[in-house]
Amino acid sequence: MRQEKRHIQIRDKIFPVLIPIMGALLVFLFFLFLFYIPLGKVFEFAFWTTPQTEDSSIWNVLGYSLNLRALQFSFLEALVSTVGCLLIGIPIGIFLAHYKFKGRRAILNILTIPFVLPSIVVLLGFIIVLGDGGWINSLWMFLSGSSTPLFSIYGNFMGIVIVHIFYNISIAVQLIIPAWQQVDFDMVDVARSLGASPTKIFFKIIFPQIKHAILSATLLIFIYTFNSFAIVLFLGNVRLQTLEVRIYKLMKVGFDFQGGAILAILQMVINLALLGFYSQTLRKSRGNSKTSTRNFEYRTFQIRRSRSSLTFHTFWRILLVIFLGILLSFIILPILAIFISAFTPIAGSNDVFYGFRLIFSPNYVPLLGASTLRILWNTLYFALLTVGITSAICLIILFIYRWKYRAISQYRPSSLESVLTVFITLPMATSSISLALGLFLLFKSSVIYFEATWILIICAHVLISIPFALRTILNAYNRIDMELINVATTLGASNWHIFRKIEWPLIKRGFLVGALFTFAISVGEFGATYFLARGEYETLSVSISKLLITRNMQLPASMASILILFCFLAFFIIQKLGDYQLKI
Amino acid sequence: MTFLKISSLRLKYQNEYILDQLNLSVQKGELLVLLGESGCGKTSLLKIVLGLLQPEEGTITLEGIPITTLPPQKRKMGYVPQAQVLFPHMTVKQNINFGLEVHKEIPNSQDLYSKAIKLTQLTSLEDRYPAELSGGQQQRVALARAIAIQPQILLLDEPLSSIDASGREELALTIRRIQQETHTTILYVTHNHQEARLIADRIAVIFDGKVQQLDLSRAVYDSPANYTVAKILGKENIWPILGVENLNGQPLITTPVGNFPLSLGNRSLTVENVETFTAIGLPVQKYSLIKLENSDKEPILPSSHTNENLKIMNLICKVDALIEGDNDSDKALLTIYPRFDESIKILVKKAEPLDCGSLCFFLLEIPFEDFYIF
Repeated sequence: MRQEKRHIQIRDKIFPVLIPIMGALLVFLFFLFLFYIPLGKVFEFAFWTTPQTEDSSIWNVLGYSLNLRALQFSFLEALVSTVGCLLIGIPIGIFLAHYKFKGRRAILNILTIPFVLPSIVVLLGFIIVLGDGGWINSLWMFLSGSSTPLFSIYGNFMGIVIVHIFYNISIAVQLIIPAWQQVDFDMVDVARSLGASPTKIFFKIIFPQIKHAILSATLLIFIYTFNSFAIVLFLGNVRLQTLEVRIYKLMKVGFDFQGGAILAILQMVINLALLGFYSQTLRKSRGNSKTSTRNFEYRTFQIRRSRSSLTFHTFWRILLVIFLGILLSFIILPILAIFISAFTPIAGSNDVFYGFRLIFSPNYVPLLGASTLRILWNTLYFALLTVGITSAICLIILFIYRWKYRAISQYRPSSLESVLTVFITLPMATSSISLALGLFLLFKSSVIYFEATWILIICAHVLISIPFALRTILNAYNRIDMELINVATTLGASNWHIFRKIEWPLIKRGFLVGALFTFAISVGEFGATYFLARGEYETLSVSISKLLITRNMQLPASMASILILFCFLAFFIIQKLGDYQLKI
Repeated sequence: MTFLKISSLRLKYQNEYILDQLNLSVQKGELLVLLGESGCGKTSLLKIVLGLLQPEEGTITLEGIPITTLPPQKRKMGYVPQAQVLFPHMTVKQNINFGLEVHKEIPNSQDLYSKAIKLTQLTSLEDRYPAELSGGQQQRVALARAIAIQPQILLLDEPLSSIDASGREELALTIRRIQQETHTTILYVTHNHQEARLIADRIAVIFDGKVQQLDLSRAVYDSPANYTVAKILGKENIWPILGVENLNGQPLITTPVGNFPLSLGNRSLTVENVETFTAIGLPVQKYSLIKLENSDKEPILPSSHTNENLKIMNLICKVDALIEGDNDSDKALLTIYPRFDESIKILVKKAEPLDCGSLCFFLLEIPFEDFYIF
C-alpha cells in the first residue's frame, strides 16, 4: 500500500514535468525534420547553390518578367477578389446577423458549403456551369445558333475572380455576423436620442465597432486568394498565374529548382507579413469586446407594405432578398451541376451510374495511375493517418500549453508557450506548394520519394492541417475557466485526474471538431498532393484534376460527387456537435 | 490558539510587491474576514494559503507545521471562488462528490456527502446540472463541495459578489450558520464592509500589501486605526490633515473643512504629536445644520468661530442630494465651500427642509470631541 502511494507520488511529481518535455521534444523533432530542415533546403537551393543557368541567379529570378507578372497578378487578383467578397459578403452578413427568419440557418449553411469543399471540386462545378462547353454557354449556342461560346472563364481574369469570390465569400459572412451581434446597440440608442442621423450613427458608432472584423476578413480572404492554386492552375494561363502556380510550374515543368525556391521564399515573406498583420487585427477585434450587458436581439424579418406604397426600407430589403436569392443559386448551382452531371445517363441509356461505372473500369487506370478503388482507399487512408498524427501532435501541444498554468501560478509568462507559438507560426505562413517543395527538395533523391511518396503526402497534409486543428482545440481549451482547475486542485485531484475528469470532457468536442476538419482538409487537399503524388499514390482530388483533361465532365463529376459526400459527412457531424467554427 | 500563521509574506507582480511583509494569524474555529479594496492583493493572499500561488518570501504554518511549499492537493483546504465555479459537465451530486472520490482515505464519504448537502439545503437539487441552478444555488453547491472533504480551513473568495442582492444576505447567513455548526475555521475575503460586519468574528483590513488593522469586528468599526482603514470601512466625512498653522500664538490644524484649534476637544492631539496624524473624521450623526438665509440675500463670507464645545462654521453650501431615511435620520449630501476656490463633499444630518440643488448659507455645529483623529 505504502509502495503504491509512493509510486503515485513519484508519478505525480515526474509526469507533469516529463510529459511536456518529452512532448515538446517530439513536436520539435517532427517540425524540425519535416518542416525546418526542408525549409533549410529551400534556402540552400535559393541562395547557396550555384545557379543552374544564368537565369537562375537571385536577381534574374526576381526580375524575370513572368515572375514579376505572377507577383503582380497574385496581388491584383487577390485584391479584386477580396473587394468583391467584401462588397457582397458584408451586406449579407449584416442582414443575416440582424434578422431572424425561417431558413436563416439553412442559408448560413449553404453559404458555408463552398468553403468546406475542396477547391478542385468548386472549380469543376464552375466549369460544368460556366465553362466553354458548360450549361450557360451551351444554352446560348443553342438559342443563338452561334458556334462560339458567349464567354470563356479560361484565361479570363474575371473568371478567376468570380470563382474566388464564390469560394471565399463565407469568410466575410461568417466574420461579420458575430461582429455585428457584438455591436453595442445601447450606444446606437444614445446616439439616436442625441439626434444623430442614421448615416452618422453608422460611420461614427457602428463602423468603429466592426472595422476590426472587416479588416480580419479582408486579410484572411487576401491570404487565401493570394495563395490560390487549383483554380488559377486550370483557369489561368501564362499571363494569369499566381506565385503559387508559378512556383509549381518552375519546379515541375521547367525543373528550375532554384527559381522555384527563390519565389517560394518571397511568397513566404509576404505571407508572414500578412499573417502577422492578421493576428494583430484579430487581437484587436477580440479586445474590442462589448461594453453593454444587453444581449443581442434579432429583429424579425418581414416585408411590410404600407397603405399606399412600399416604404423606402422595405424596398432595400426586397432588393437584398433578391440579391441573396441570386447568390444562393450561384452557390447551389455548381454543386448541383456536379451531381446532375455525375448521374446523367448517356444518350439512349437509363444507366444513371454510367459515369461511376466508367471511372471504376480498368480503362482509366493508365490515365489515373491507379484504379479508382485504390485512389479511394488512398484518399481515406491518408486522411485517417493524417487525423491520427495531427490529433496526436495537437494533444502533445495541448499538454505543453497546459504548462502555462504553472507559469501563471508564479505570475510569470510561459516561455515554453511563446517558443511553441513562434515554432508553429512559420508553417502556417507557408503555402501548400512551398511545403511540398521543401519536402520534395529534401527527399527527391531518396528512396522515400521514389518508393513511398505517401509518407511525404501525409506529412504535408499534417503540416497543412495542424494550424486549423490546433486553433479549434485551443479555442475549446481556452474556454475552460482556470478556477475550475484551481478548485479541483484544492480538492486534492492530481494533475492527471484533473485532465481526465475536468479538462478532457470539456474539450473533447473541440478535439473531435479539429479531427473532422483535419479529415476534410486531407480528403480535399490538392496543391501539395498534386506536387508530390507519384505512381499509385494518387488521391481523389488529384484524379479529378486529371479527368478534367478528358473534357467529359461526367467522369470528374462522378469522382467529385464521392468527395463531396465525404466532406458533407464531416461537415454534418461538425454541425451536429454544435461547436463548429469555420476553419478561419 | 493560532491555527494558521502567515509571517513576513511577500509577493511580486509585475515588478511591484502586492503583498509586502504581511503577517496574519487566524484562530481555530473563527471566521476571519480579510477586508480590502479591489486589487489590494487579498485574493492573491488566499491563493498563496491554498498553494495555488508561490510567494517570493515568507512562511505559512498550519497548527505549527510549515506548509509554504506543500502542493495544494496535500493541504486539504476548502476553496470557494468568486464566480460560481462548478464543473459544468457534472451534476450537483457529482460536483460535491469530486473531492470525496479523490480523497479515498476519508472514511464514510457517503455520510459526509449527506451532511454537506443537508447543511447547504441542496437535497432536492442533487441531480441537476449547474446550468439549471440559480446563482445562489450554484454558490451553495460550491460551498457544499468545499466542506464535504472536511477541510482544515475553508477559504472563501468574495462568495457573495456575483449573486443578486436578494440571495446575498441569505447565503451570508448560511455560511455563518455552517461555520457555527461545524466549528470550521474560515478565512473570508471581501471588499464589502457591510458584508464583513455582518459575518465576521474578526476583521483584518488589508491595504498597501500589509494588514493595517486586525481586531474584533466591533472594535475595528468603532476605532479605525488610520485614515485608510476608515475609508475602507466606509466611514463618511474623512479629510486629510494638511498641516499646522499658528494664529496669534494659537496652534490650529488645517483641514479642507477649515482650521481647528488644538486646545479643543481631542485629548490625544498635541503640538508635539500633530505631525504624526494624517486625517480627521466627523461622524455623520453627531452634528447638525442650521439654515441661515437664502442665497438671494447679500452673501456672507465664509468664517468660522469656536467655543469650548462647538466648532461653528458659517459656510456656503450647495445641496447635492437628499438621502431619505426615517424622519430622524434624513441626511443630505452637500458641497461646501470653505474657501472660494475649494469644495468638499460632506454628508450631514438634515435638521430642516432643504431643496436639492439650492445654494444656501448654513451654520454647521459640530461637537469637536467626536472627531476621529488618525
